[in-house]
Amino acid sequence: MMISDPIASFQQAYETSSQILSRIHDQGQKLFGYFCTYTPIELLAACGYLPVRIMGGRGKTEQCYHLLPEFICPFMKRSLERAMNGEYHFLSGIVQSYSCDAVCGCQAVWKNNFPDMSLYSISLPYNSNPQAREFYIAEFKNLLEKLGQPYDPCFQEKLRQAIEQYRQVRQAVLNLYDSAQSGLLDISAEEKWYAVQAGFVIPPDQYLELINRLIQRKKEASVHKKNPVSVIISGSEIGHPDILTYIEKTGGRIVWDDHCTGIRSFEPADGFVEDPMERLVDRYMKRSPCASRSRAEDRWLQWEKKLRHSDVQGVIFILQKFCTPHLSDIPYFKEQLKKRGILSIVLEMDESWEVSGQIRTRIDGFLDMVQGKNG
Amino acid sequence: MDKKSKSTKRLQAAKDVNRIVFEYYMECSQAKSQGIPVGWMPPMNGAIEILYAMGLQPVFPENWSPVCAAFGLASQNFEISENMGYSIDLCGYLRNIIGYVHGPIETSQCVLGNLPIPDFLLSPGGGCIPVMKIFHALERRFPDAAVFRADLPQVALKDIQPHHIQYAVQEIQRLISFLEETTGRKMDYDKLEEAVALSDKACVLWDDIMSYRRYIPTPFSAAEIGIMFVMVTRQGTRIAVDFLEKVLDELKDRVARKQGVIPEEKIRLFWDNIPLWYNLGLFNYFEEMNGVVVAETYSTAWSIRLDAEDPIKALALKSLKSYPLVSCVSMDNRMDSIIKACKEYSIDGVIFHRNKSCLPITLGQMDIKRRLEEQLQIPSIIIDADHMDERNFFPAQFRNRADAFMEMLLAKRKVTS
Repeated sequence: MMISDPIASFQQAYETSSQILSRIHDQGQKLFGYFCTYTPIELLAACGYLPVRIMGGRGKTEQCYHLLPEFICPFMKRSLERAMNGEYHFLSGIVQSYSCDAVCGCQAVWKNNFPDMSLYSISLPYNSNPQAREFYIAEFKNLLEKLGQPYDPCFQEKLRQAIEQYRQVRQAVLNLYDSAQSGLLDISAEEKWYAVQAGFVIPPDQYLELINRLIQRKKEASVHKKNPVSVIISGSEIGHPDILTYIEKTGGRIVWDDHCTGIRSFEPADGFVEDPMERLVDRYMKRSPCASRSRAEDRWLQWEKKLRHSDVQGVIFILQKFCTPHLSDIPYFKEQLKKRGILSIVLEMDESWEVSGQIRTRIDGFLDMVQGKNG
Repeated sequence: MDKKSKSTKRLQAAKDVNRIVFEYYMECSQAKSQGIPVGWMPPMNGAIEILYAMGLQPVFPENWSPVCAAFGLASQNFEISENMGYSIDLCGYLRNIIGYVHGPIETSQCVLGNLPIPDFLLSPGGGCIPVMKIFHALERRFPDAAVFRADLPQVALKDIQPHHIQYAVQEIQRLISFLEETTGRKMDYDKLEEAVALSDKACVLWDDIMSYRRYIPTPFSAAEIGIMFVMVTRQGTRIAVDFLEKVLDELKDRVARKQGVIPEEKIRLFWDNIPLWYNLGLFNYFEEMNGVVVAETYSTAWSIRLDAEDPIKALALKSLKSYPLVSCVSMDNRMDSIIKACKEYSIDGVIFHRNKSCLPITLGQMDIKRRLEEQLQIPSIIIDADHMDERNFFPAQFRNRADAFMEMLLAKRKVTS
């Protein structure tokens, strides 16, 4: 049952997603998991599965060390830990799209330890030329074949419907970002985080209803907008919103994010071709660049556009410890930001997502410094 | 035990390896002055044969890192890259080469000279993330170099489909066009066929050489892994084939004379993951307790065949297969090949190097370990270290674990015999 306040519903959905999804599974709905948003969830939905994003979240890591080394990101450690605790028993399988070496290797570990699940990998091209586009289509069709789904007119119609539904979901999240940015919607970073994360784990029709209700919520006060220091946050998955709350409490105003669990997953909302498969590929090929699959320069082009149109004063990189793709891009980004006179700081988080004394001190010092610099 | 040590080599061919290494790097250094375009590329793909067939000079920055580790140059390179903001948690190859190109590339006093500035870069999409990121950094460091943005499907061997091969073939063709345009040299397809045939011959010889390690006593150990240098840098040339033929002859002779690595070979070991390039002497450590490392994962990367009659497709397939053969991309295959090797090489115990610098090979080790115990009752040990960064290797911890492991294996052997 949904709670009348959309934010409370999002938080409850996110925090109790295992139980909710388990119930959905018991009602006969099949579910398929995915680690990152390069997995074409529309294909899974059109095949009759409910796509569910596997989340790490915050918590202990104990059992996973029987299978993983210590030097892998908290996200992968936590998600395996949760699986070993039975929190993903309802999944029929997982599709991974070579998000990074850690995801690829962990998928293999899941395969060996959860033999009842079907685990599929898809290989997505790194280029965007016509051959890459053709390959993309072939790879998506190959996934359908593995799922035992013929690409017939009946399926194509279902795919059209799935694309439309997830377009609406993505557009709604983008609208949420716009409303929050423009001040039309008064929402804290923590609330926004729950609002976005819930969309990864609850059925899209329910989510759409809730998020549209949230966007229409009238502005009551503008507490968050008054914060003096405007910052971008960037990095990999954010497993818990406490760190965002702390940034806001100490005077930070998050004006944009470039995170794996943030806006990057939603842009663009759709592709622009008529044929459903080509439309799907068009959307995935035009996705906002991420550190795993792109050059830092390509990511920076997008940053420049944002920096041109906003008053960003500082950047807080919030990384999962041991995240190779993002750690590799940091020196380039810091250099570019320095050239623009924008200060930045790198915070590496472990699986507890605890905002420790050291992290608090660093955030305090950073925001003071940014504020001092900008008068 | 020291953090760094060199291995004791027994093969006569080891001396030839030193010569081949020296000549290769001299050739790299001289290429520029001879007007030969220099291309930097990642190893383990089908581009090397293309470059040799076109008379271009391939350079492998990833392969330069073990050289830096062996010659004690890595620590200064790490210092430079870490000062630039590259985290100590990143792969040692990445930190080393980025430090090198931003530091001593033109000043280092390495006996092998220095790497020549690239005229073009084959920047990979595919393979592991650190290698991809190395090349992104190289693109920034060498803005005058032409860049080929390569792409390659990352797919398990058993899942390779015609569309994967077709895309890899298209990429090889696109690469040839890029090289022709960039260097002004035309591809000679007869030479390409010849290079692919030589590459295939080298792979056949490689497998033959590895198979001789099945003999008891084994004619050579992992301490001689340096012979792999020709597979990384000289595939597609006569140099690799001639050298490997010589190695094979020497092995045949040693086997005929029952000449092993140590006087009394009691324990046969398998090494998983990349060796510690700054401490290849670790392989000799086991020899003190009558143990020999007779097989390893890394050498399987060259266990492939190339059909010279269809060279483009052969190189596409080589590119598709090499990296998955040793990494988590093709975990089933990796697991099966270790099980197979343990049977064929009469392995008593397996050493898993939990390598902080290489997640794609490290992931899945615990599952392989379990399967070895369940299926073959072969015990194994985990060694925590790093193939490049000696700061992540703790000799005392290694000794404790290795000594206990060897004592257990020796006791087990005593009971069974």
